[in-house]
Amino acid sequence: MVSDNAKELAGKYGYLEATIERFIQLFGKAETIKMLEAYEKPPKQTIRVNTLKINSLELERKLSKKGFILTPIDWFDDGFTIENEPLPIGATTEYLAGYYFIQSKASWLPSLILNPSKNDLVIDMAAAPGGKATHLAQLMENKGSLLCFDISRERMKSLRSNLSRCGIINSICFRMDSREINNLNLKVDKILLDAPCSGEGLMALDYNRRKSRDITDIERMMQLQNDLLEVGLRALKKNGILVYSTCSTAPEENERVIDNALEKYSIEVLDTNYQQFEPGLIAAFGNEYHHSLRKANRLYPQINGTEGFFVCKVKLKEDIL
Amino acid sequence: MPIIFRMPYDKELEIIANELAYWLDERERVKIFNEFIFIIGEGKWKEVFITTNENASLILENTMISPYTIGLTIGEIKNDYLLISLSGGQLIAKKSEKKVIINQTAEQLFLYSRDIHSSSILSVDKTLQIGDKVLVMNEDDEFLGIGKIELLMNDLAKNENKDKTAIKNLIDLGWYLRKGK
Repeated sequence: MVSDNAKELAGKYGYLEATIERFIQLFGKAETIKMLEAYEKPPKQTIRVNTLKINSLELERKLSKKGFILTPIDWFDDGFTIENEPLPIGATTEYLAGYYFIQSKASWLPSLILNPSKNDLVIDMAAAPGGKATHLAQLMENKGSLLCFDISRERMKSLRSNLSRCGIINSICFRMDSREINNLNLKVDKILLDAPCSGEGLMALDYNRRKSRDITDIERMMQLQNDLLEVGLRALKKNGILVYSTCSTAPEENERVIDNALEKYSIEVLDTNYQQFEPGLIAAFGNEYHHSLRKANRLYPQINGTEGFFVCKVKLKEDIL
Repeated sequence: MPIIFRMPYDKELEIIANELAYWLDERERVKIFNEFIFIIGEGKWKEVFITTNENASLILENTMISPYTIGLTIGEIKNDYLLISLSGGQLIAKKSEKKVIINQTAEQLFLYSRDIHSSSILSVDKTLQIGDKVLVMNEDDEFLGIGKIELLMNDLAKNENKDKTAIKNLIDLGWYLRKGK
């Protein structure tokens, strides 16, 4: 049943009525309006400095000299918001030289939360086009092993190009379905699963999603996300860490996926140590989720100036055979 | 065609060493051989990769693993020569003397695949001969790509040469936008 409020807002902002009804049930009418207003404008572009090649101060100096206006990010030393660009930020010599990666600030969180070290064996389960993979390699100081998976031939080309541009030597790329990772008989220390999702949090960047995606897409993605998370957990060593993220605000693609895994496997949700962001949900649409999901984080355009985003850190307590 | 990744044969190591000898002095070559592990990826092409010890062990010891690519491609072996790639150029750029520095206007044009005119060259290794390869750098000594000398370096200053192509563009960082996306 769609409320009159949902019909009105759906008409005004160009969404499916059922989508708005879900937002209202989840966030309330006032917050939904704030979110829809925020989705009208794309977030400001942000860049992550590739510290394997240059430090933040030096890059800021170079780009400022060319007329770019950059502002620092309060929670991440190696990131900047682009306030003004005299030429496209993706067409500078500095970009081509691999000094930075154009990446939304929400997308920095999964790699930062996973925080791999140079001695770790790490998997990025959905690595292309390489924003998070290059960040992981950076955190690993370009040492150890970073295994990158993606199934798409086209996306694999852009992954390879970005890894090359950023000077990454510790990666091994596999063009295969991540659901087959367990066939490699590997047990790793850390896994990043930035799961394929409905992209519900990307409405500001892709207007088509407002009417082209509905609950059936969310449910279809949830099944894939459950499968991928199970595969990821099976590939972890005991006490290994997995960070799960999506660019969706739908609880079915986020808290519910982790909640399902909490019921099936010996895992625990850990603090992300980014308490400045909103906590995960422990109830939505009449369903209750494990209380520890409060330790997950949600980002919203109206609060954080980012796309809608979810991130959660879990530890495998007992090896899955 | 699947790519087989393996350690280089002696002949391939010799080819790699010969190419590095063109660009670098012995001290720098030794540093590169000590710092990185070389891997050959053989499929439709024969490419040379550098990677970590951990990666090399992983792929050489686990037959289940069949990667798409590994580490950084520094070039392709063709007709017993190593053709240095963009990544290879970046790896050696700070350590090589075989370089040309070009002005800011030429930098932008070079990144759009254009050749370099004599008048755009700020400094160059004068020992370079016609046909030699050269690392192309900007005013901040940053690597932009690889070129081939087309004009005697001692003749650059001659007025009749100022609009002539002095260095042909072989590959430039703009590739990442044109082809790498």
